[in-house]
Amino acid sequence: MREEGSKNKGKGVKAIVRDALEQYGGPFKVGEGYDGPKPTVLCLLLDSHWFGNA
Amino acid sequence: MHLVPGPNNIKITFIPPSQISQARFTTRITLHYLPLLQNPPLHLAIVLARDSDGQFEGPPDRPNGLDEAVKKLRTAGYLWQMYTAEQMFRNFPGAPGHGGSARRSFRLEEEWGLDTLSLQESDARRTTAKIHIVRSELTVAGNYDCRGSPFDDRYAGGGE
Repeated sequence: MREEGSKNKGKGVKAIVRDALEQYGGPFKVGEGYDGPKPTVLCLLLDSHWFGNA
Repeated sequence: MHLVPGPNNIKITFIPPSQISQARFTTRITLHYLPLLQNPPLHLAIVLARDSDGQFEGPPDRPNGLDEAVKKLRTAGYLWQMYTAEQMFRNFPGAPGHGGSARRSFRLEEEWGLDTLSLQESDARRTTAKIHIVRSELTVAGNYDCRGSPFDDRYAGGGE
């Protein structure tokens, strides 16, 4: 766990969420050669203690 | 009021207090709802850590599971949509095409499913906002340890 955290330290929540959305796929995965509007996503981070004093 | 695509016949009845009048006052309007599906939607998603128990912080006597989070985010999405429309109208006065704005807003991604917007009904199915449940590959501890970026520093001291 600690190793995982160190690997991603400073990555930022936006990058974490972007990775999660790309892995999820669905409407968030944009195919090769697509130049239309990027999908706009409003995310709720359920584990709010990500930012707290857990 | 839940609109369906096409004409919606709406009847509004005012029943005054009996000491004022015994009569009922009724008016009818027809609203034509045309979903603008050509506009890209705003997607709603809940992001969970890999080992998340699917609960959020809340009062101890209130439900705080994932189902409840979905309901709350769906309701919040529609409230944001209405708020945006109202603010566009208020902040850009005048007629559309002459510097003003109508009640313009974004479109939420919707799907046919169980609607949770109203407490006055249950098991109602209609077109409603879709909420994606996204699992991060990181654990809660892993995500927590990712702090350090300028974005995250705003939350340092956290919990508020």
